[in-house]
Amino acid sequence: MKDEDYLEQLRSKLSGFSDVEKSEILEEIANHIHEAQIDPKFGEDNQEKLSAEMGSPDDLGKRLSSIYHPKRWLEYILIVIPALFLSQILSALIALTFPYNSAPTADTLGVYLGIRLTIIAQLVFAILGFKLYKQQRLITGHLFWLGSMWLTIFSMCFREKRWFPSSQFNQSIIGIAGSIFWSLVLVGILAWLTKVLWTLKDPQYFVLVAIPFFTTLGNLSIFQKILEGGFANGYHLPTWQVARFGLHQLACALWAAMFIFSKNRSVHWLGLLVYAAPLPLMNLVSSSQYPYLMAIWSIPILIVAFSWLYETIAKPSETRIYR
Amino acid sequence: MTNLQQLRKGSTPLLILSILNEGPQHGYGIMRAMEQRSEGYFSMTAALLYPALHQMELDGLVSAEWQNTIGNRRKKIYSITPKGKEYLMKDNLEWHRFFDYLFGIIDQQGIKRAQ
Repeated sequence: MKDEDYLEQLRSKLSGFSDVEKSEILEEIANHIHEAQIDPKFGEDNQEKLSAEMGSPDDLGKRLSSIYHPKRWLEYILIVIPALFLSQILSALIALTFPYNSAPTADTLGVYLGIRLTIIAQLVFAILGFKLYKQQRLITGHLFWLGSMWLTIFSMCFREKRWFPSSQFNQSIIGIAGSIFWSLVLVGILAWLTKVLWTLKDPQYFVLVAIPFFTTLGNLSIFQKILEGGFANGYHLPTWQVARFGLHQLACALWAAMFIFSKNRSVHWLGLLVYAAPLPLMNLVSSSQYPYLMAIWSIPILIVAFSWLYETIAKPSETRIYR
Repeated sequence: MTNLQQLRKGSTPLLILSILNEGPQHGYGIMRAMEQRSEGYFSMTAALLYPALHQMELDGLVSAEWQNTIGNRRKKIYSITPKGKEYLMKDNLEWHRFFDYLFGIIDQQGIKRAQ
């Protein structure tokens, strides 16, 4: 059997795998064949010996499929359920823990407690995501929650002015130690995210992590503008709804399904666009009086669009398989 | 599957870990090392080796890393993990004990028959 036929037959047996997983398995096997072909010790009858040594592609495909039974629905649940209901759960927790307040996040304690509870919850989800990565090779949940956690901590430090000596949190030794602690946590998470992304070397995961970073940049820019006295009539996002569901919530359920369950890379990109677009679109409408804010809010959508275009034109996914 | 084949299959992780214990290797390198050290007795097809390696990676016994090589190619290099080393040590002892007792019985029977 020719090498290309072997790889093609193996590929057809890996139907349950994502494009990236398939690509990596095929690359490893293609590399094995290449090593045998250039090995001088392999002998003169190397093609015949190689065929025997490779075994059947059907066998290899079946064995690999029996090892990997990715429970993608677990990853979907890990992302969608907490993402949709986290704020309600945390508000309920705060309301149950402290004397009832109709707007728990409006009082000082609520603000500080709420954001810290959010960080703890995100840490739990990131750890669960890491377990899924280790056991099932599913990385989306881990990256999603670890990225979200980094951004929550960053937003918290930004709003509490942790990096300014005048901050009320930096007036005592414990407060300064806290600021140093959070800064180190931020650096640590960023280093870990970089390591994981570097190992994966998949532009879709880079984009997945980049989207909330730029969304947060937009949020902080709006926050800063409000502090400067902008938006005299208050800042209001449009309430776009589809059958009583907010557009943002629907998009959350949809993008994760497209990204996690589909085996097609183009559907993944479309899923990332669904993930990136709703919040920026809402903010583009609300911040239309400030062009620089509109520019900032366009970044998440542009990143997905350009990365997709770049991969489609410059690096078609097929080239990843046989490189 | 014959008993001997089952025995061989059961020894696959031990064989792979023993080779990786001497240094990181890619799949092809592991296959060649195994063949050389056993003078061809332990020859394994790719259809057996790679699923075994992937399973061991999932179990945390080995770790894998892609390394760039000449000609825009990448090699997946496997290394033994601390958990793998621990497993190797325990499994090594178990197999030695197994064969000690096995041959202890077989040899005694052989001696009796000879007498």
